[in-house]
Amino acid sequence: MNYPFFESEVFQLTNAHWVALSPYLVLCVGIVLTTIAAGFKAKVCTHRSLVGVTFVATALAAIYGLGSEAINFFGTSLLINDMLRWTILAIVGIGFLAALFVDEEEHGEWSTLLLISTVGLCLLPGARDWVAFFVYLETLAIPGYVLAGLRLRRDGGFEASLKYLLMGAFASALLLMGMTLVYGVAGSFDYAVIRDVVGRDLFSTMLVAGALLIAISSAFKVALAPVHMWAADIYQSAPTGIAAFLAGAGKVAVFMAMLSAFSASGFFEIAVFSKLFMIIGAASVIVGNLLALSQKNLRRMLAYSSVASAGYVALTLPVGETAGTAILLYLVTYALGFLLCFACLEGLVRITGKPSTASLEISDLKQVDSKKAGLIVALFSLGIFSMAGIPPLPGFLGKYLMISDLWSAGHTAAAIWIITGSMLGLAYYLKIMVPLYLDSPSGNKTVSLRSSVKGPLASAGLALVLMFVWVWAFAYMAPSNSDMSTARVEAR
Amino acid sequence: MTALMLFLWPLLSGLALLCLIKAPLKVVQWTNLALHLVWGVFVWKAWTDFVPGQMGTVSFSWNWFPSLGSSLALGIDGLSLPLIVLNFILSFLLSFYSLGKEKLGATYLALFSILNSGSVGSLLALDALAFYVFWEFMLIPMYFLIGKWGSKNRVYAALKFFAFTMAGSLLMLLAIIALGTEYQTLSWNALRDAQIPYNGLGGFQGLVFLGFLVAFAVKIPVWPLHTWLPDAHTEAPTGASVILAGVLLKLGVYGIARWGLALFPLAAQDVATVMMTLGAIGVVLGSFAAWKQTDIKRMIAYSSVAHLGFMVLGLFAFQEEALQGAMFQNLAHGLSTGALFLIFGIIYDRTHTREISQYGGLASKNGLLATAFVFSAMASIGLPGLPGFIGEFLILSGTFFTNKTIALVSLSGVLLGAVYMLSMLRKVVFGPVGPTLESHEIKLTWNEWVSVVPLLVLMLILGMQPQFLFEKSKFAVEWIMSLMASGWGV
Repeated sequence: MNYPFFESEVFQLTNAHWVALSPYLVLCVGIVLTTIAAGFKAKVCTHRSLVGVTFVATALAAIYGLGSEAINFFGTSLLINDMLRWTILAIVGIGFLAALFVDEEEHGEWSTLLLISTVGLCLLPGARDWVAFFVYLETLAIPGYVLAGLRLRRDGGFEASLKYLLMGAFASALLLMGMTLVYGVAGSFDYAVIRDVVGRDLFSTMLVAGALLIAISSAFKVALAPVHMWAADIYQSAPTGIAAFLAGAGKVAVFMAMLSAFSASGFFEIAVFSKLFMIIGAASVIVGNLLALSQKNLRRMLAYSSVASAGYVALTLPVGETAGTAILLYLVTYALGFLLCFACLEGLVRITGKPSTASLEISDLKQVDSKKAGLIVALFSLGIFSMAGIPPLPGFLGKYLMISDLWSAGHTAAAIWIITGSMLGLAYYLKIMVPLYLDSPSGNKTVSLRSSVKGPLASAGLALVLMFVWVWAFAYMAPSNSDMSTARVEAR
Repeated sequence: MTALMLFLWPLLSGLALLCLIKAPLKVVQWTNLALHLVWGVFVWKAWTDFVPGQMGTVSFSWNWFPSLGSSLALGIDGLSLPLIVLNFILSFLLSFYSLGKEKLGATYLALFSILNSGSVGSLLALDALAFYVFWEFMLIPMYFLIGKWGSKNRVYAALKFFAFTMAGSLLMLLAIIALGTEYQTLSWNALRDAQIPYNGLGGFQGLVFLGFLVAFAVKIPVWPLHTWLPDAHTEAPTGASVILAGVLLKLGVYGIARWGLALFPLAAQDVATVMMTLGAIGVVLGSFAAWKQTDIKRMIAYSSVAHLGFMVLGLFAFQEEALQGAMFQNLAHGLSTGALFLIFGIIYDRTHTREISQYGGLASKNGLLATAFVFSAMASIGLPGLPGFIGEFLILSGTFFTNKTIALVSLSGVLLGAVYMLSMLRKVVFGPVGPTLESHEIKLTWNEWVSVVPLLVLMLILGMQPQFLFEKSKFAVEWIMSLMASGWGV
């Protein structure tokens, strides 16, 4: 018997290939194990630990590969390099912490879905052509729809998940349409070929239109301004851990994918595209911050604040891959801060006696006695201050680097815009502190840390530690292809 | 290593105090005192080891972000040393004051220590990013100190404080980023050696300087950016008021000297007249506003606006006496206003009212305390023999050479200072015993005396023998003046 296909170069895998692929293989093993566990109706803690172990193993596999050469798989379908490994590390780190406080007794499938979604997230930034991009995006999105709808019958979960699903389907259609237009002009899905076409000034309005459609559909995934409406509903109604995962890991992966895809396809070299993209970013900053200011519900407020933060990243994206390090650093510190806050909410809700975090209002925090629940309150405020970007917390450094990259690339207005947005942001972040600390507590509930609070607490504490570790590790070992110092010299 | 410990020790003490949150009050407060004593050893070592004659000597450096050209560089020189000592003295005396006060428990003292770490850190920092980190680091503990332990309107005051300062700081952040991208380094020494070329206020040096200036002007505060101060001062608890007046405002003056004048001398010369005019307006309007206040703490706060107006004059007159005077006045005002806030705080702890009209006859209730209060008020007015006089005299005589009109206008501030202080003293200390003092005993505990008396002694020493302080800061002042005179890159 002769199978020429399997003897072709594609399947001649060397040791280096296996090392590069190992994070994905580990995730797949985890998927199989959690499916079996779900079949046996395992308890939620079994699922939690399975997911946790899988994530730790994935992280170790990614760390093992750090420093090795970039490898292509299946032509342009997947490029595994150090930047992708760092992104994988960030995604599984956030996933691990989020899984610690997923409190989903009814549906065991959440663990499998979470892992499948993670595979998509880890693949997406490695795509080097638009077909792969689309396939990976759907891999992460489809389990995401189900995860977002786990609480279908409460907290407005039905409305939220339906909105998410319909808008997501619409976004996918836009993506396909955009890809078609781009293919029509360039004759290829390959990023490099498209960049060539852009570079030779052969592009037409059709290509620009295609690029914009792609941008809008990816903007949907990260909740940028005109297509952000789903974010508040989903972040409010999905189970707390899942919401933190979708918001945190989802944004890291999709933004990093947008960065590599848009710059590798040369979209940012199209002046109109860059301008419009920055307008989207600027609009998100304003819309997110203003809407967050007017929110009473805590999770909705945090959701809108994350729209604003996505705006900061979108403003920085057109700088291109030189800003990659800054963007990844910011995304991860923000995601960890966001996750820290959500984990603390899960603990705080038990003190206030509300049924779930979805209905937790800012004024409810008045019932929290900051003396008795000192640890959780302190962690919560550190998370908030980190997101607000106040030094010496890690959130500051990410913002600093992004502004710095914008400045050296000559985007002064965008830099000032981010600073103005941060000022606005302070107003609502401080609004949380008022009932938490400054009003005297009105409730006289005694706080007993039930075992169920310990998961969120551990997750929050770990998130804080990881934030600092990430900043140091990343600042010293950042991949060289986007080394900040060289980038700056070129810009000058 | 001393430099590192100077800011690290308060930070560690803060964390240690947080761990004692469940311990008995007495243990916490005495631990705080003991931790301050150790900190004092480091301050003492810094004071005795100090040799004037060099600026910006880096005594500790950790290359934390090589890619940004930034390192945690710390150093002590003639500009920062007196303020570090002042910060320690005030904080140390306040830890005596807090003994036995039930409300001032572990969280309060821990926040205080963390605040100290931020303020001393920004005095030590010789790197723009490190400076910014410390500068912002002060905001969070202060926000909570005002917002949690303050009086009735505290939340509003805390928010206003935070919003004003943060808005100013973000402009400074922008300036720092611009410097970093342009010069690849954020070290104070390297930036100074780079001799940033100057082409008008709209040019690079000009804009960057303005970014720094706004942040410092908010902190000082320079009229018309001063509106946060009366609220913050009035609502803050006694300890926070003292540190706010004694250290935080001074950091604005210090910041202009180190990060403004030394790095951007030419831009500073271009805004000098404007800044001096604003300073003079602050002196006059602040004095009039203080005169009209019915709330004692508010009155002292407005008097701070006026006094800090003098310091702005001293900074931008570009005369050696004036700058020396501003640096001296920094300390003098820290001691005298700190003492006023502290003494009034002690009275307020018993009476719980700030209305001037409710007081009267303090002298007949507690003669010693009344003497201390009058003494501090006199120091604040600038009575010869007390430090306020030396500072204001030097500033005004320097300003007179530069701009006679402004000097004459601000001279009225000295007179107005006497008017509002004396009329307040008449209503509070003398005359018949007022309604509140009738119903409350004013008897001080030993630890409250321990917190007040050293301030008075220091004021007397500083007023009679200012020379030992001038020796420490003389070189720094001369150095800045020579820098201003050299005028690079026109």
